Amino acid sequence: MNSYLASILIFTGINLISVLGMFLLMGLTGLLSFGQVGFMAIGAYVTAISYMRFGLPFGAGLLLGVGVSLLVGLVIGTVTLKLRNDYFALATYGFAEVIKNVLIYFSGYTGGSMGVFGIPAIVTLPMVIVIFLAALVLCRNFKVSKLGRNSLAIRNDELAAKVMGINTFKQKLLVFLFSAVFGSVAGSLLAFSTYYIEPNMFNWSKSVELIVIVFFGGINSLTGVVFAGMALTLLPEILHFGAEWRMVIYTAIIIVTMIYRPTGLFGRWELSLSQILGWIKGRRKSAVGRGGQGA
Amino acid sequence: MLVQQIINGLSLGSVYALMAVGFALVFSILKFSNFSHGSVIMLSAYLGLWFSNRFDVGLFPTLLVCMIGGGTIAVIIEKIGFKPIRDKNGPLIYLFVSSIAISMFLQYLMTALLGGRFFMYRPLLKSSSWRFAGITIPIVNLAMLAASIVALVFLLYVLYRTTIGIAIRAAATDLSTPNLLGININMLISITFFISGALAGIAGLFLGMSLNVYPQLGGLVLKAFVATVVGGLGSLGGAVIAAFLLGLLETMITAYIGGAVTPMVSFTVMILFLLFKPEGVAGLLGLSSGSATQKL
Repeated sequence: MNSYLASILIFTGINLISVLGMFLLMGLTGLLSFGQVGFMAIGAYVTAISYMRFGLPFGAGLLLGVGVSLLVGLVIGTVTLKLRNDYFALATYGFAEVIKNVLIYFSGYTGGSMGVFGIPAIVTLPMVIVIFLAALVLCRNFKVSKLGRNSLAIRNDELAAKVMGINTFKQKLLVFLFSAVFGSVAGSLLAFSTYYIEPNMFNWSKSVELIVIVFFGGINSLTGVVFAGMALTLLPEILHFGAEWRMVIYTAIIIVTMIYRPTGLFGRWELSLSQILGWIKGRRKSAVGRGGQGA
Repeated sequence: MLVQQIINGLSLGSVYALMAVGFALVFSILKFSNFSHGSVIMLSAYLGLWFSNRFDVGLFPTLLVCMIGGGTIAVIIEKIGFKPIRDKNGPLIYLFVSSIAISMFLQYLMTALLGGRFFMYRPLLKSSSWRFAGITIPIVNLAMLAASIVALVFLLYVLYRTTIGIAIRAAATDLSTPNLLGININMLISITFFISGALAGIAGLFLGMSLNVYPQLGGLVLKAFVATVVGGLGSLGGAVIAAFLLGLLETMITAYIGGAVTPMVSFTVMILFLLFKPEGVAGLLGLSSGSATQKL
């Protein structure tokens, strides 16, 4: 496989991991957050700095990033998750901006607006695929478990969910922390596949990109979100859009989706493993059948 | 020096107040945070720039064009981006997401079309600053302050002394009852968007004159949002007071501490208000307002 294709696939995989975090938060629980990119920044910087400055191995740095993200997420979540949804969205925007400003301001460690240079490209495609699949399985199990149903109840009607005995604050905090971990891991992987990181890579428009993907794929469909993530990350790479037009098209897509198909492209449809196995079996059977007729 | 900063702060606050009132008006009726308000501000600034250069006119004709243009843009945005969702009784969060998508779409569209560069207004006012007893104040700030106050007083008149104003206030309490009483609710929403857009037009012109015109100009709507939140949800009086306070606070911090920390401080103030005084300035002063911890 040539390295250009591999790097695109790595980038897509990393994007999908952060998209999955956003799916848990927004698709399942209905919490709109612009702060996802803040956790990506934390993951990226913590891992990069601990590797470059303190010689911590990549894996340990990644876990350290997750730890820091969890701590920060706990504080931010506790403070903001009791607010109305649109205020929560804004507070998370503020969080992402503060993180970015902190990165620029404390330039002694972070390199300021220049960022961190010379990060080795440790991340390989198989590594990204394994982590992505693990994240996917985690998400899928989350969705079909009691936790997922609690989240759906909160998204559809928070008051009703409370009445049914769900501790909505605790549940929302849990999902928020989950998504923080996803974001942080994606950030760490990103840092070790792009050679350098700088604060402007973690603009809030990145969070918007994730939100667009989740809405486009369908807030009820994990399959849809993964497909949308692949399509919207790969297409611009293949078609070589300029960065500006890419965002114009992205946002136009979400406006049209919101108006004409608010449930997203895939609606509620999910692809399951048994379905795939069923198809394969079915095809084999019909192939055998046809073969039999021919003979 | 201090007097000068206070006046500059008040004029900045007055533009924030214009934005915040437009923002709060839409919020009071449709109960969602309309982020496309920022793109109305940005597009009006471009419109005013184009108009004043093309026809070589002064401040007042440009102001008029910005108001009408801003109002029209806001109505178009409502018809394209919000009405289809309202018609389907979509959840409020869809309106919110749609408004963000629209504002980003317009911002990136302008970037793609004209590039990210800054455009400067040619001087629309005769002199650039006003000196008095040792203090120097940019004339544009004074014009900003004057125009904003006139617009706000006029808005108060419309809201409290005209039939349309009464209908808007009725719709703010409950959207369906005025409909039952024979008020054309879609018309009323369009009028509200027009008023809010016209205020955004004034804000856009003055922001463009003092900060230059660029695609991210609409991002300043966040200040309006902060003012609306600190003012108390949907309370116009609270939003105006909070906007002036925010303008003063930002000017003081920029003058005496440094511009780098200004956004952090205003966000911190907002979050503190959300946590400890969700009903905002309006709640402190006993004006009517909603609650920040309500369900969206």
